[in-house]
Amino acid sequence: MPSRMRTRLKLERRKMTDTGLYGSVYEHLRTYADRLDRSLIGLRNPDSNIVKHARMEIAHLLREVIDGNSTNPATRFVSIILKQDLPPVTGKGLPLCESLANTLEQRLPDLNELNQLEQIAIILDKECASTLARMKGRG
Amino acid sequence: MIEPYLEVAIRQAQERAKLLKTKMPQPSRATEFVALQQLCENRIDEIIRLLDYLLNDTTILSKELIKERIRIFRRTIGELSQLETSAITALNRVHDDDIFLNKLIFQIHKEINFPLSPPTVTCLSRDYFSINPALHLLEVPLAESEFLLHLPDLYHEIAHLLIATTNNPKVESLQQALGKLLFEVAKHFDKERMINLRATGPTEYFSHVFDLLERFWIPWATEICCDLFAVFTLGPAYAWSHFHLTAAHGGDPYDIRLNSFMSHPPDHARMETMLIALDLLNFRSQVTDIKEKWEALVKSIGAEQTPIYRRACPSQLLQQAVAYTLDGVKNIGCYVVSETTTGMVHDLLNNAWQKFWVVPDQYPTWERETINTLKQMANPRTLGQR
Repeated sequence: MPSRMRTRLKLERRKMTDTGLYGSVYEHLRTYADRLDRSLIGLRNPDSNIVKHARMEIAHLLREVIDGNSTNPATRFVSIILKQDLPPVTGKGLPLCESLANTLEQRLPDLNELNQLEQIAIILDKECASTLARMKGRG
Repeated sequence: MIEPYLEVAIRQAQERAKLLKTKMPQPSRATEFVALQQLCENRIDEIIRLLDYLLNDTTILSKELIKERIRIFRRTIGELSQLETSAITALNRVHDDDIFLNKLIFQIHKEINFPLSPPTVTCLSRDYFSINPALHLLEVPLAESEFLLHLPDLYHEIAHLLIATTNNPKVESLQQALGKLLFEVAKHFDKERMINLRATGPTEYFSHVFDLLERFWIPWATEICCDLFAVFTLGPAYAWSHFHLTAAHGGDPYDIRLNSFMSHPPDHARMETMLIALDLLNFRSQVTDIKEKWEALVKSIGAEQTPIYRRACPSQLLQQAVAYTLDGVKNIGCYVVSETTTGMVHDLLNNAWQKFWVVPDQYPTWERETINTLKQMANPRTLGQR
C-alpha cells in the first residue's frame, strides 16, 4: 500500500476479533515469505547445488505471483500486495517480478537484482508483521 | 553491530520456549485437549530448532544476511508469542464449559463431514468468536456455552481452517474457489482503474480508492467465503446469527470507511451474499422472512445505501462468491444443507432461531433447559446451573 495511504489508516472499531480472518491470510503470507527468505539465504551458500536450487525456487515463487490464472490464494494475496507496493519502491510493479524470474532462470542475480529481491522480501515481511498485528487486534 | 544483541535475544527466546513447556499441565485435564498440547510441544520444538539455526548455521551468520536473519527471528518470536498468549493459556486454564463446546464442535465436524480434524475450543476469548488456524484453536467468549443464538458462528470459524491449511489436497477445491474470487476481484478493480483513467474529475482520488478497495478484498473475500461455508453447511440459522450480531453490535451496515483498514466486509454485503446462497438452496420462505426483518433493522438504524457501497461491493462479485464457494464446499465433500437435512446440532441451532421468533416469551426458559440437558449429557459432573 502506498505509504501516504498507510499513514492515513487508523485502527477501525471492530465488532469481531480478527484472529481467524487474518490468521488465514497470515499462514499463506508467512509460508511465502519464509520460502523467499530461505532461498535468498540459499543463494549465498558455498554449495553450487544449493545455490542453483535456491535460484530456481525464487524464479518459481515469482512466476506464481505473475501467473494471472493461478487460483492459489497465497499467490493471489501476494500478487495484490506486490502490484500495489512495488511501484513506489522500484518503479516497475509486477513486471519487475517477471523480469527477475527470467533472469534467475538463466543466471545468478547481480547486486542490483539482489537488492530488488531484497525489496520484495521486505515488503512481504512488513505485510506479515501488519497482518500479525491485526490478528492480535493491534492493526 | 546488531549481532551481539541478536545472539542474546535468540538464546533468551529459546529459554522462554522451554519454560512454556512447563506451563502445560500434565496429565491433560481432558482428552479434548491432548491434540492441542501435542501441537504446542511440537511447535515449541520447531521454534527451538529454528532459533538454533539462527544461532549456529554458518551461512546465516554471514554479515550480508543480517536482514534475512532478523526477519526470520522476528517471525519466529511472533509465533512463540501467539503460542503463549492463546494455546498455552487455554491449556493452563481448562474449564468444564470448554469440554462441553469441544464435544459440540466434534458433533458438527461429524454432521457436516468436515474434512479436517476439529479444532480445540476454549472459552477464553477477550472479544468475539475467533480461530487461530495455526494452532487449530477456536476461542469463544466466557459465557457463550450458556447460549445458542450465536453458536452458528462456530461454522464460520471452522471454515477459516479450510482456507488456512496448506499442502492438503482434501481442501484444495475450496481454496481454489477463494483464489478464483480473488482473481475476479483483481480483474474488476483493474477494469475500474482503466475506466477511471479515461474519466474526468478527481481521477487520482479514485485511483487511491480502487487500490484501497482491492486491498480490503483480501480479507473480505476470505470472510465472505467463510460466511458462505456456514450458510451451505448449517442453513438459515447462520444468517439469523449475522442479523443478531449486526443488530446488537454492528454499526452502519453499508459503511465503507476509506480512512481506516476495513477488515470485515460491510454487514449488508455479507447479508446480501447469504441471502443469494439461501435462495440458491431453495430456502425461499426463510429468505423472505430474513429479508423482511433485515430491512426493518436497517430502517430502524437509519442506514441507507451509499454510492461507494456498491462500488466497493458490486453485486457481480457477491454472486460469483456464492457460485464459486458452493462448488468448493461440494468438492471438498462437505454435506450441503437442504430443507430435509437433520442432525443434532443442525436441528438445535435452526430450531433455536425458529423458537426465538415464534414464541419469544418462552425462548429464554427453553434455551436454559436445553443447554442444561446438553451439558448433563456431555459431562455428567456438570449440573449446568445458571
